[in-house]
Amino acid sequence: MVTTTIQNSNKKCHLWVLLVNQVSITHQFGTAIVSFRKQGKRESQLLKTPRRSLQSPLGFATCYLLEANAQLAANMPNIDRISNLPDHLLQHILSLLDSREAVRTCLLSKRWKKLWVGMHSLDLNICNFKTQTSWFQRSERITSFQRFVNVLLSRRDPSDLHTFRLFCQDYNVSDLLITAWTFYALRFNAKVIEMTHLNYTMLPADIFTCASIEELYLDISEIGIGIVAGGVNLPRLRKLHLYDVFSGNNGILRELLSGCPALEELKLDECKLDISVISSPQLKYLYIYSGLDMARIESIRAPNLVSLDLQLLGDELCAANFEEMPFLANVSITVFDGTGFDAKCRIISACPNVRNLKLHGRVMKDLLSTELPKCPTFFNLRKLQLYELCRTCHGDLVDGMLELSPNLKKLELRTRCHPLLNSQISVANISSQGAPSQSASNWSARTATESQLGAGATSSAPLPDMIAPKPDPSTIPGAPSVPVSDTLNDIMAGMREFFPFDG
Amino acid sequence: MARSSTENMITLMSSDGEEFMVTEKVARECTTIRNMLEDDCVITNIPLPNVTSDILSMVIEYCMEHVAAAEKAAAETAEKGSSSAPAAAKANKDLEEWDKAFMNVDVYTLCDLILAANYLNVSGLLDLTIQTAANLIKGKSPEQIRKTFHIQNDLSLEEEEKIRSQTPWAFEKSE
Repeated sequence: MVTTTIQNSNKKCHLWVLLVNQVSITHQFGTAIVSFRKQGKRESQLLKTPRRSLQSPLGFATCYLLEANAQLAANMPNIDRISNLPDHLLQHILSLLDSREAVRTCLLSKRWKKLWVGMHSLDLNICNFKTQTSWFQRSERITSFQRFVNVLLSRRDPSDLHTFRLFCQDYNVSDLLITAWTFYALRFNAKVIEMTHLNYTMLPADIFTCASIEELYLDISEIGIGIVAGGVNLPRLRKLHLYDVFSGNNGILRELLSGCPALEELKLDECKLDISVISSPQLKYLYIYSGLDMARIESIRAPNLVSLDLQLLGDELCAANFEEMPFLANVSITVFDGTGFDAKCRIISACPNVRNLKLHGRVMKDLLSTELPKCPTFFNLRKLQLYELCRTCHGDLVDGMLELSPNLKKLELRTRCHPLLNSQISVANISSQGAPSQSASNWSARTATESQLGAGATSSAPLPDMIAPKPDPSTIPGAPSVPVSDTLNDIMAGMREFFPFDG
Repeated sequence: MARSSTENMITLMSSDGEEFMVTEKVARECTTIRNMLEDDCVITNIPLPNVTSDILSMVIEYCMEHVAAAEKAAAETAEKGSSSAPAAAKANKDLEEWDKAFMNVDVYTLCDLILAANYLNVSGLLDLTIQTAANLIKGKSPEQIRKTFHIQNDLSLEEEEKIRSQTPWAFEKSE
């Protein structure tokens, strides 16, 4: 990269300074001085100025760019800058490497020989050991990994850890050793602990009573028996991600959350845990991606929640009762399959200030019909995505939702439910073309009626040949006539509706 | 350099005597300078004997870019009530791209920048430079690392053998 800056250039170009990378060229009354740094000292050299390029600094720059770079390359001394950095900075660099790579820097020079013992983050990954195919070699790989971690931990400086990352893949690394390594991380007050692919190892309960942990990521492991007996005490924990974690103990999540008063982010991914009650006072981000044996969610109590993302397989949410979450701005609920919702359920009506709302799944029509009467007006709602709901079949629901959203800017509908559009997905994308601050006079041009919008659709986005019938509600026999509310008209004026197909 | 009459200007002086006028907001990105300003609020001229002018100009460039990005995000939030997620994500991505282009420097400059970021305590720049240095080491053999950073190998063959025999657990058998 070559960057040039020209300073102090006046009209007649008698005096100017040109900076090309690290070389500065000072031009004064027809002569130029090139300065560059050599071994920390500034050196200067006189350059002849070619007359034809005198007119402008840029002409001069193009003439001397190559020469200056050549000078730079020739004068760059091969001095070792990195080894002169203080220990703690070099150890910081090593801490960002895979631990094995970090240890290997001991071969670089005398300076680097002992540096690795002071690194404050460990990244232990069995994948960095040579891939072996046969079973015999596989066990060899495990042996060498185990030996590596054991020796590394015993030779490392006994100083506090920042990150402890252990990745065992699906190899049968000894449970006893994993437990011992976990104790090592706890003993040296690790702030971030990430343990992946532990092959259903039972983790020691002490991991849940460690005051130093701020972030905890667990994958494929069993937690449980010890917890309730010993209690959970993770006062600094801010992030907890559990992937494929299981426990036979029903109260485990409740117990866990009650011991994490500072928790801000919780992610449960394919866990086999009892999630009936999620209660956490400081929680801001909640993600639940359900696995097969997930229990039902009965209530969520998280008054400070900002973002909620649920992806569920079936009826986990059908009788859920959320407590009001006034700060909740982003809600995304996807239900892949399910049978319906209980009349008492309270889900979207518990988020009055939602800004972006996405509902995805066939059962969402049941959710909306159950909840719409209870919903407050969503004054903050800007973006609404309703998938598998269309204005043709569920016009009353969509309109009901639009009536509750006076400030909506973007509505996205996707459906595959209409009989004439069998197995095809139609996407209705109504997006505001004008600026959000559309004046009243613009809105007054309410000429955009349903049919005109439909006609506009054909010209703006021609349909692929394969789809003969145009999915215009007015042309489909038997389709319910859609009442167009004032709100809808408001939104649609100055908007465009089109039906591209992507199925 | 953008100047506004309402903001306090602060002069930073590099080790080789060059002076840089920056707004107080930009200077405050450096925790070291922020602490100085908080201890003594009338200070306007700060000598930085550990930083040369070419490196200081880069540090200032970084701070200015990041202050501008933060101001832009704040202005957007104020305008629209709250920031929209995609716009914020795009702004973040732009800044990341800028950082990436900014890190396109030779290893000498990189090491000087690490030292300056450490001395001036600019945490974002320190993380960025350290990560860049780590990326330069990643996946390389010792010989390649030496070549990249011009590290002189002052270990004799015997010493090298000794290290290998002491830490066989870190190396493959074939190495």
